[in-house]
Amino acid sequence: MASEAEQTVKLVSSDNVEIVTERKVAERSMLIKNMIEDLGAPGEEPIPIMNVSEAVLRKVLEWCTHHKNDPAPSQDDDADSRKKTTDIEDWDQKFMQVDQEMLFEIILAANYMDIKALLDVGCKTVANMIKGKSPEEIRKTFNIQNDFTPEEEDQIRRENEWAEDR
Amino acid sequence: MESSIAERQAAHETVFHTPEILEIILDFLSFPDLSVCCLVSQRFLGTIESSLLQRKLSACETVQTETLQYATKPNGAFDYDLGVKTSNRKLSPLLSASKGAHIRLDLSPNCAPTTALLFSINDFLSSPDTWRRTYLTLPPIPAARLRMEWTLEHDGFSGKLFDEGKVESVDGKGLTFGELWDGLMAKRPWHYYSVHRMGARVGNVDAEERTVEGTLGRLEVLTEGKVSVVEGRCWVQIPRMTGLVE
Repeated sequence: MASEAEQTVKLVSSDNVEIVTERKVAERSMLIKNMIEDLGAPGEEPIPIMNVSEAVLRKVLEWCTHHKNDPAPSQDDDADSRKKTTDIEDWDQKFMQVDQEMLFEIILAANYMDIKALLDVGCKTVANMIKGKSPEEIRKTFNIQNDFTPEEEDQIRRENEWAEDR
Repeated sequence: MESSIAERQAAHETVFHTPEILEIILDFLSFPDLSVCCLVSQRFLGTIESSLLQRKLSACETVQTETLQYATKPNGAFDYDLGVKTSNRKLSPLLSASKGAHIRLDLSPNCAPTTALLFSINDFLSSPDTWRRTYLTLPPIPAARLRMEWTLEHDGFSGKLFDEGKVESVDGKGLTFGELWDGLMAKRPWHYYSVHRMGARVGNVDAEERTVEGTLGRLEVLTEGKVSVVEGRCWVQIPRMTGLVE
């Protein structure tokens, strides 16, 4: 019987493509880790990753492979401890140099597969795209519709006078 | 191919329509950027106003408890400053932000005190950078009083000193975070005068009050004469405005 380190698991994407990967890599996802523990026999039963397409799943597994030896996330990694910085390490920055919709697909996959560190990297990337922009520029960047009335906009502007440059 | 494009377009919408993900994204932003994001869409505004601010407020409860405790002390020079209603004078959200300094404040609707813990001494080297020109309150106030609490150790003495002083706006229009910071860092000339002593007497030291004079914010002054600063904290107090308070 293969040792845990050598074990592989079969993942099935939402478009029915089977991908075989190391168990250690796959277990960066808490969703998969819990499923493996529940199934008890990794490698035999394919694990469906229902909300993630093949292209996105391969991208996520690329990230998991690079980070497979990272320390497991601690339960104490609360919101405050991770909010201090939007710095992203070089490899992750390059990894996130994808088209915008792939970036959002990765964020959704990380959320669904419960990979907190990848979710944070994705969200930091989006936060960095927001920084320093005007509301209109943010809407244009992310194709967001302005659903405020002019009166509502005026009121919010008045309430946010704090941040105006003087 | 068309369905693929449609799916991909759905991705960013799904992210921005998933409150927990939008909250994580926005939580990485500073207050100036958050105030801009309030104007992006109703969803952004709702997430910032509900989730983010609520979480920041939850971290402030201990500060309110501390300030209330000080308000009960007899002859406290700051007692009259406490009890101002935040509903009548809006305090800058920066007071509860954490950008360069640990600034915490209770901004909850029913909050009575307007005393805010500005930072601990470990933050002295931090720079407040971009928010220097932001007013502390709206309408702006020309001056604010400050209270420093130093936990000190001296020959046989271990206790706390409360320092107080006043910092004023340079142009008289309104006190900004930058002016407040400069006052604290002694870049502007004002002095503190410590009169209170708290804590247990240690060894043979008499129980009389001890007085320390110096320039607030200069750690080296406080470390002279074998006085070691164990901990320092600062509160800013917004003065009561006649006619604005019930």
